[in-house]
Amino acid sequence: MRIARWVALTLVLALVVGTVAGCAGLGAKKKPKVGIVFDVGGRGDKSFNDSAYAGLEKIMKEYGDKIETKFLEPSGGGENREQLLRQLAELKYDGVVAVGFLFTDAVTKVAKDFPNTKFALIDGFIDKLNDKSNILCQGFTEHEGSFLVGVAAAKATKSKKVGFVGGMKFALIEKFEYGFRAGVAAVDPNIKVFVDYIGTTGDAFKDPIKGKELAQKQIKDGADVIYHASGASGTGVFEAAAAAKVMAIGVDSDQYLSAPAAQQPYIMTSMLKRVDVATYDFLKTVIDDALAPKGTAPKYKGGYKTYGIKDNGVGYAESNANAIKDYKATMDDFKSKIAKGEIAVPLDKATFDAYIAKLPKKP
Amino acid sequence: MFRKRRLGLQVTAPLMAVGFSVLVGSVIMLAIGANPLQAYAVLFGFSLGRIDSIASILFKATPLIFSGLAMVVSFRMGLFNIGVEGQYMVGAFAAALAGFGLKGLPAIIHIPIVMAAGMAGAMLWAALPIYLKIKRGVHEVISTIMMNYIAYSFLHWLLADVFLDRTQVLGQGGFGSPRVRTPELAASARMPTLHKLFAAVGIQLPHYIYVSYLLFIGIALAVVVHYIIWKTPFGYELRAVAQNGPAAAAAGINSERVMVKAFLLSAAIAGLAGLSDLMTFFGYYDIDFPRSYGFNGIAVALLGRNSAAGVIVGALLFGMLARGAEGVQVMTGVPAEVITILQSVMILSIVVAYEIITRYVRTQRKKEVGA
Amino acid sequence: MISIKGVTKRFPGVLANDHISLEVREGEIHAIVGENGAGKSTLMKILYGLYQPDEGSIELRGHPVRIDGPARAVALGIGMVHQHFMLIPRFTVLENIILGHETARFGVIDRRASEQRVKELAGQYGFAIDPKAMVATLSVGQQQRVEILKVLYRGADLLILDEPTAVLAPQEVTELFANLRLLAAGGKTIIFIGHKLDEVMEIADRVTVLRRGQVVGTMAAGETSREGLAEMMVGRPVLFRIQKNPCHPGAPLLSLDDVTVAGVGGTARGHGRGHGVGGSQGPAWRTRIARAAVDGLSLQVNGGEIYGIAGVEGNGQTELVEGIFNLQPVTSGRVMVLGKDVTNRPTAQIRAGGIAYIPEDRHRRGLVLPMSIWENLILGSHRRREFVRRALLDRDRILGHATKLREQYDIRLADMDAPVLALSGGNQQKVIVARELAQSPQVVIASQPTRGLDVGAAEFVRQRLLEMRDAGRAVLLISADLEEVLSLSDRVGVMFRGKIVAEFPAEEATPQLLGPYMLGGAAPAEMEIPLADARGEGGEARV
Repeated sequence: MRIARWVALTLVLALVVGTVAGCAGLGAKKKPKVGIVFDVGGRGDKSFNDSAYAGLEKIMKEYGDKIETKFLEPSGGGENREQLLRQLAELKYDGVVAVGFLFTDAVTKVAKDFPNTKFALIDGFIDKLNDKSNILCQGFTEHEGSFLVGVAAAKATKSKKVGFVGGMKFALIEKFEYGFRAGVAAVDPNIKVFVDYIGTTGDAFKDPIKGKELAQKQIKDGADVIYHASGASGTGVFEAAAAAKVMAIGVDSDQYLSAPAAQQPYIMTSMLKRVDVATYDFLKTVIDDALAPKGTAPKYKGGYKTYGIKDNGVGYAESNANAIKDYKATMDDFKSKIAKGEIAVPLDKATFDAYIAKLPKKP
Repeated sequence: MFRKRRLGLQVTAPLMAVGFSVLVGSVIMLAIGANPLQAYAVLFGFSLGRIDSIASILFKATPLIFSGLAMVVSFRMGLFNIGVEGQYMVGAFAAALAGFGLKGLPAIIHIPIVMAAGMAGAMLWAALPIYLKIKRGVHEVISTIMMNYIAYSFLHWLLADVFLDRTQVLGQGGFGSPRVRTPELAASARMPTLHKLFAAVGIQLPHYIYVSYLLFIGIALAVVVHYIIWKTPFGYELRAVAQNGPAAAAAGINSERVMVKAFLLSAAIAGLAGLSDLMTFFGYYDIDFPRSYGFNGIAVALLGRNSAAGVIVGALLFGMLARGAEGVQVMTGVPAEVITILQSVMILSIVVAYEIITRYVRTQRKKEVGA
Repeated sequence: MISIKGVTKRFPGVLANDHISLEVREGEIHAIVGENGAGKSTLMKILYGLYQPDEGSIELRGHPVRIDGPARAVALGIGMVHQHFMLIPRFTVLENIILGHETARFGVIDRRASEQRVKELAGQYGFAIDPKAMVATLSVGQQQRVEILKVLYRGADLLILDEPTAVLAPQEVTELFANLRLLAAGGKTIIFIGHKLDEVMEIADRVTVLRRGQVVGTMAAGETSREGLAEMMVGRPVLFRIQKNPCHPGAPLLSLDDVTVAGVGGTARGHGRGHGVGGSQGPAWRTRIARAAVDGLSLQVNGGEIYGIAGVEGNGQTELVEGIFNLQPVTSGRVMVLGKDVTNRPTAQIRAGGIAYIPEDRHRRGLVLPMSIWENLILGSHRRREFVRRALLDRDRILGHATKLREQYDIRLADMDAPVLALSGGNQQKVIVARELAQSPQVVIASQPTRGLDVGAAEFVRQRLLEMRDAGRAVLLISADLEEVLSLSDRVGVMFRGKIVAEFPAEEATPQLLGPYMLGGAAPAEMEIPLADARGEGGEARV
């Protein structure tokens, strides 16, 4: 009897909710709705997710209450990612940003079911898309950005030895490594580059102790500029560099800004990966299309969009202006060469070897 | 009279606990300026009021039935197999190997092989802790926690360096990131979902539902586990050793052998926990493979009062809360963290409520038996 | 002194005390006897303020009092000496006595004043005890005296002693009784709760018998007899002098040959009790730790006889039994059962050879308390073919078997599915005895088989052991109850410090003869006792 009462109560609740939800749907004049689904960890990672949120914030500031926004965070891997995307799509969201390549399958599946919702997949790659697709894969040429900071490192080093500390060893981070090494070699092929990876697992991105150890080892071997692409492990790299009074280079966002004051002088620059720009661009086109009168040609285009040096999708940070003032000209020179396509920056071992082979030999 | 009252208590206690946690949750939500009425309406309405939600709950409950049963076996043995976490992951990986490594088998053979691989992988991962326990007296909690960490890293290494699906490459122009995952399982290794079964009774499940026959395998296994613990000579020995080792030894029961068997049984069951995701949702093992089924299994077993039937109820409750949380997150302004707190408070209060009842019943019984 | 008037205490389903009225006179030793569950402990807990009566009243020296807690009881001059001592082993006697009642001067414990007071008390009642000795070095009897002193120190006029002799050797009992008589002569009133009717008859001025929560009667000890008391307790005549058929020893079924058991952990529990009256010296106690718990012990039990091992607890009895069953490893020597060497074989194999085990600690070794009664009745035989069908336990057949045992062994229970912990101690012991003897063993090892049992249950268990003997089985009986050993056994060996130090035929053995051996003090050096003489034909031993 007790159970029966419980079931009845639940049914009543369900009914109420259904009605309420229904009314809400009818009442409001349709506002564009956009949302973000973060990767596990969500906001506050001072990197990837926060950067995407910054893009959303900019949108919110710009459009105010003309739009509805929402950001979600999966509780775990797998089905939950898909369900969150699906719920947003079901509520007729116009645009949804999926932050991180782990959403690849989920976006593929959900986008098929909801052709009227546009999805942006950051860092991921889904095959066989075109302009008409409701998926936009947003990629970054991290190797190009890394190339520029490689140039800075090569210019700055006095010992002719620089270091690279990677997080988890896999193809994405190897793009950073080879881009960086190419940038160094472009200035002086004789500069020695120490390459170390923290680990082979995702935990490699949150192991500052190991990061510090590797940086210390490289410093002991003579490196005086160290570039890290290791997420939160990078704080260890900064500590080691500041302690030894050598230079460090940050990654993804401008890490000079978030570093403690004592370390700031030693963070000469950071390789920027503008997830915020990508997020903002996508959401803006989606919102503008929704707000535009019927018949206007849509601005949104599906398929693939690469954020490279040209589009300010990658670049370098200039907050520590003092530290890079002597090299800025050289860096910008390379920047424009890359933008013009005069230099093809390598992104893996094969392209790197080819790149090195073509470099003019210096004494 | 006594038994009837106890039964009544066991039914009302969880309801009271849910009520209490709803109260606590409301206070938290009011404090952050959210509307608790709306949140709870969505939590229950969304998770119980839609057919896709019900099916999703069943999907979310499936792995927890296995990990919960694994915990029940180990708890009944008086062992704390915290290693279910690592064991199910290693099991799922082993199953994935059998799933993509073997080709050309009919499903009726391939699926059992994949499941057996899952169990074998998990048992392998449990072998060292139980060996250390028996031979060296290393407490299984310590060793299994360590094995969990090793499992995370070991699997990642296998995934990133050994069994990586090399067909996953960068897009043109160095685009995106390559997927870190195994090759896909052969079609014959995929567990069929319940769509056809539901269609047969007139319910059309949406295509994005992944609940599979593993649900029924889990329920059947619960029955088997119940029989093993309560009806077989082995289960009898397991309980005797757990509840009074010295007496069991005096009766000639080889405690160590019983412990090893029980621990490996627990691990074998754990090895099935990851298969629902592997064989239906993903179709491959990747770095995004869901974690914490092992830890949630502990809570499920506690919720289920360490009984096989209770595990099913506990797993369904967990599934419901998880599904409800998805709805609350999407449809209300309540942040994900608050929902996690709500879930935890609810589980905690149920466990506490049961503990209070157990004590009450115990004192009642003592009084009745008399001084 | 104290009058209990119509005190009633109910627990759900049980009437523990049913309108109990009794009067204890100033300066008397008043014994309260009754079977387990008769309501003795409940009544004492009411007197000590641990329970409140549902009905009735208590008057102390003519004034009604409400004893709402032990603190109140102490303030009223009521003291309780528990069966299990509540002493801190690493504290001295003095520290233990004054614990919680320290006399402080300027915030510092006034040791000298306290010591003075303790010495006075000890001297007044004839307690030979050194206040500065560490409690861990004392014998059990001396520790008990510390407990009594503790109660006196708190100003008790009425002392409640809960089965004080259960843990003592015969000589220690004599000493305790001497102390109690002095206390009574000094004006203290004593309530003595006991099982052993001989002792009650010896010490008590008056005796009150309880049965099923009611007072059966109160009488002067001189007006009744042991048999009379027993009949009042049980409600029917009880046989004391056990009727024994003549002994026809057969072939040796159990032989222990120079068995040594190191005693992992076992010694720690035993030492300190192992030596008797005069042994308060610390060093002697310490050196004993290194000694093996069972130290080259040899004995033989023949079919058709009961071999009794007498001895103060802690002299290796536990380790001996555990060694026989390989629950502790035998470090040297041989254990032979039915002529087969089973030394350190797996326990299951030893037991399958036809040897039953009634353990001394039924809660630790004998039963799985949370498991049901029927499950406990098959512990160890649960894999036998008749109990298993299609890989599952055959509940119907096991229940049939259990019901048969329940009838045969008169186990009183309401529900076979109830956990065995719901049974009274006596019925729990019957579960074990039934289970073990149902296997028709050739050898029975019975360790403290009647400990904590009331008269009726103990008699029952002893009869079963005699039946085994008469059926030609070998019974090894280990008991701290000397009377039990003497009345049941055909041969008696005294165990002291891991050895059989003397062996007698039952007809010759008396408490007076055995006592000195049990305490190890009688012989100038116990090592030199000629064991061979004692063992061989069960002949005489030199004192």
